[in-house]
Amino acid sequence: MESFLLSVHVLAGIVLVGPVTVATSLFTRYAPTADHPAADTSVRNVDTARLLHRITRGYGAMALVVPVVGLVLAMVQGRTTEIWVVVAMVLTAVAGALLALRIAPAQSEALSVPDDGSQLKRLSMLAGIFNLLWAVVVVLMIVRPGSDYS
Amino acid sequence: MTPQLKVLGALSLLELVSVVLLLGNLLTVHDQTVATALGPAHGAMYLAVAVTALLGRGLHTTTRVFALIPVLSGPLTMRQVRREARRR
Repeated sequence: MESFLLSVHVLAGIVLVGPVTVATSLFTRYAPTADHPAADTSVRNVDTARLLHRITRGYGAMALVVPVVGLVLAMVQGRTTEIWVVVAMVLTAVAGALLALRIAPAQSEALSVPDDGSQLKRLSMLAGIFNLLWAVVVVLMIVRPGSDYS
Repeated sequence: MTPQLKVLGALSLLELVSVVLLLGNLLTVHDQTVATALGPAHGAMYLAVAVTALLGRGLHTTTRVFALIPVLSGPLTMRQVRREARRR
């Protein structure tokens, strides 16, 4: 049971969270700006940006599996009170809310109303914070500070 | 009511249910297995409500602060969601 849950948890983390980190980072590179003509698709390409937005939303929603299975796994293993699990839960919650409530709506706005690029800069920063949060969570999962068995 | 407020309302209701069950268990049978399962579930619900209120767009400061209060954030947020919906 534990091996199965751990496999699902890790696989979903790689397959579902991975694409979201790439899509959020690349979105700002392809999203349109007002000063860039839409006809010139060599650098900025609306269709590519749309696809990246779809990946962000779709894979982001499916990625909810990762924390849910992770929490069940922690319950099964009786580790829910260990500090690294608690810290990882808080960071994951912040990252998830950042994606659903800030990054995805901002991407949708950037697609419908392109500006001079300042909203893309903000979006780029948010994507960086989002990716950094995941990196910290993964390190916590490996180092497991505060546990006596790592 | 915006989708964001709907989600926040649903999450706060789930949080309220989990805290009522948790306290009910504590005051009555105090079953260890139930506490072990419900505790982390309630923690996850509390976190979900807190981050949704903190990072949600266009929410009132009161809503954000109330969502952080342990035990009471469920019912307080449910009330705030109704107020936010009326304000729009």
